[in-house]
Amino acid sequence: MLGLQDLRNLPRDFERKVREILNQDLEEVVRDRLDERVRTITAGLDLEELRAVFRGDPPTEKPNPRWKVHTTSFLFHIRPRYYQRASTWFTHTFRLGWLSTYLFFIELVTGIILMIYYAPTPNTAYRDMLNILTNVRFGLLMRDLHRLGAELMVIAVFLHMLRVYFTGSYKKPREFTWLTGVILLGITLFLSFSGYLLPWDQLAYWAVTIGTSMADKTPLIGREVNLLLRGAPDIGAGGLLRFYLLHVLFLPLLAILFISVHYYKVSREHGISLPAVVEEGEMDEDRRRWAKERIDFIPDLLTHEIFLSVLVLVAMVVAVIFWFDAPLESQANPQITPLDTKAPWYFLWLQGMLKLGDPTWMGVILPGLIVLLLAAIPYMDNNPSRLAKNRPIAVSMGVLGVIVLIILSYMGTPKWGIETPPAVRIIQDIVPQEGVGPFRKLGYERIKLGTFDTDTFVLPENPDEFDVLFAEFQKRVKNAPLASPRGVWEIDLLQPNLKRVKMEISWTKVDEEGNILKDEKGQPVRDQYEKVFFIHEDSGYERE
Amino acid sequence: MIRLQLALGIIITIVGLLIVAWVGVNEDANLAQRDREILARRIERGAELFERNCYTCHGINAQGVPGLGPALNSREMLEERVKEVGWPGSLHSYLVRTISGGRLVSTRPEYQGAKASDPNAMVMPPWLEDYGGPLRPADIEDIAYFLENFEEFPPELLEQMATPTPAGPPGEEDVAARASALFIEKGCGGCHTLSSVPGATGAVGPALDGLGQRAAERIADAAYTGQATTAEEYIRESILDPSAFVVPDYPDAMPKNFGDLLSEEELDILVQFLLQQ
Repeated sequence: MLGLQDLRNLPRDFERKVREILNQDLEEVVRDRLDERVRTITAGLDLEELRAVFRGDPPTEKPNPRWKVHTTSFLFHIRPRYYQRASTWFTHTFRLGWLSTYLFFIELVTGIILMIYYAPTPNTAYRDMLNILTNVRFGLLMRDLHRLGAELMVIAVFLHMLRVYFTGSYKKPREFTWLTGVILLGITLFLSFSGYLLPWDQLAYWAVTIGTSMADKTPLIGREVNLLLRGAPDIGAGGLLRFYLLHVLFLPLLAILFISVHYYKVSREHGISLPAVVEEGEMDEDRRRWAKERIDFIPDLLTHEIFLSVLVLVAMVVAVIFWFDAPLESQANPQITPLDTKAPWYFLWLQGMLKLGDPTWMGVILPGLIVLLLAAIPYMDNNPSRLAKNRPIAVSMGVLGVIVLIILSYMGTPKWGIETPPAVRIIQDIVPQEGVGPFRKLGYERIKLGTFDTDTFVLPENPDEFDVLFAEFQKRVKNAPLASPRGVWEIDLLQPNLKRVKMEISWTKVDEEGNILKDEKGQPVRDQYEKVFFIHEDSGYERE
Repeated sequence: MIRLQLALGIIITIVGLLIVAWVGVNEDANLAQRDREILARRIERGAELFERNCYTCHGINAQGVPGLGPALNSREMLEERVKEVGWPGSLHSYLVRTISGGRLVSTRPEYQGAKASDPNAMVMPPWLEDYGGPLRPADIEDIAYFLENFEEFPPELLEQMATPTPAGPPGEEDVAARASALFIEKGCGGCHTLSSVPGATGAVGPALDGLGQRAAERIADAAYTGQATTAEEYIRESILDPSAFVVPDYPDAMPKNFGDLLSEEELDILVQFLLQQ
């Protein structure tokens, strides 16, 4: 109970308290409190130390308080306290391992945002894509970033592997790290590939149909593997859901597990390899000592990584806004196989191999052996030296492998080894089934009404783009390997803002010996290929 | 290095944020723009689907086919129709529902659709895959968007359309082309197959390939009930008075009003054209 005496004492107590406070050094009190907070947040660095860190000054206390962060903070404890200088040289690693991981995180963040607006069923998936583009602020940006990140990640992981191969960094004692790296390459490819199906457009559907059809060729269990993957003989609701779950749950978890194992090996067990020249090459001893000096993670490498993170992210955002568009074709249609279907570019080499022979051998067994070979490289290569000049066979095999990969990828494109009938090819090149093509690119306004005939068309003196395009069509039709070919464009208005275009190429039918076929009246029989399509005023093809 | 990277990093961050802010400022306009583009492309797709699936009964320009299906080429008319049948929802939902489910019986006796050739058929079949048709929900919506896009042509556009092709001297080809166009425009292809006219693949009435020859055989036949004495007269009679003679195994389903729909000149062109088939 507060007594009367207490009340009487109150002014005196108050006065004493104020005197106590006034006697303290106010600045010191504030600084102590602030330091305490800062230490909590930075896991051990006080204010002065933090300023030293940002200035690039040496540590202010002993023992180095920056190392303490590596024990108190989870995120820092998985990073090493220091690296040897030479292992941080940009031209040694090109930061590709870091870049792969960073892109993985960008994918996680953009992916989770996209998941909010997406439901994996055939009837909603494509509609949701359109909704993301037309109704979600920054939706296009997120989708493009996610797509670009995925493609860059495949490139980064692959280049990372090449780097490790050519610097011989997979050699003892890092064989197991290489093995987990090969697994991560596979996970990256399948992460990207499983995401490919989700927009549920023609591009996605048929690329994945081609991809999974290889599973069908697996010896003995092909049918079961295919069923397991697609959920039905063809990709449908079941297949979409399975790919979705692989993409958003199973593969990311697997990736996180293997990234952790991979990185643990790198950071805790063996460190990043030193350049071979520092490790075993001829080098001035002073310089070698300098190259092996320790570089603290905090602040040098931390600053560098933050700088790179910002640089890469902003570069990606700029690329996405000004140049890169994630493709979106028309809704998936199992009934219509588009011309020129192809696998995603990172599987083109596989499609190229498939064109070479039996799908079981070329699509399953040989690629399987290639992966095994890749994983086994460190166990087979018993050359102890990492210097390029001491490993001529390994280096030339690597170069040869890359060249073969590029050639196979080219052979995988529809340009190689696939014959399209000439009339279909010509029209497909001008108005592709999917995408824009030069004709639509003209835009609604510049497409002229009327009938245009390759037999009578003469390029006017001041040709516009439309005339030039028709002249090119005329040239291609006339040069096509067809008997008396003729091409006609008929363009009229079906609705006040909708142009109807009929493109037709006709030719005289010829039998196998080159004789002209004639009907009962003695007239040559004509054959034709025709395509009718429409262009709306607002469709905006000219802006693409 | 640390200070340089920090400074550069801060500048890049600011630039990045400014770019994102710039995107944000324009985002609403861009969303609306993409919305228009996507609708436009859906209309294009709807037109293609219409062209492939609907022209037999509704005509190649959606102008309707006498006896088979009504004209659909006016938004105003479609809106009227929605009011007429007492549909409580939007025009879009009416179109989607009708295309999805088709029609069991005709609401207007002058249009019999598929029933004209097969009394057991539905007047209009269902088009949605759930009801046994070939199309998916998005396809049907696309067709609806296309139909809703039918507006009156403004006069200046009509003028522009009237003189699109540099006209050469009228030759045999021109007559054939005009006849072909008439054949399409009047909806003949909805019921009759004629290989020289694209899209004419109907099976309600007899195929017209080789008609010139066959017409002569028909009038010589004992079963013939009409008045014609030459192949030309036979064709003319078949168009103007289809009931005079109905080819066995085919229904007497051809509209009787082509006399009103065709001018004398048009009729001549058509008869000459068919005679040469």
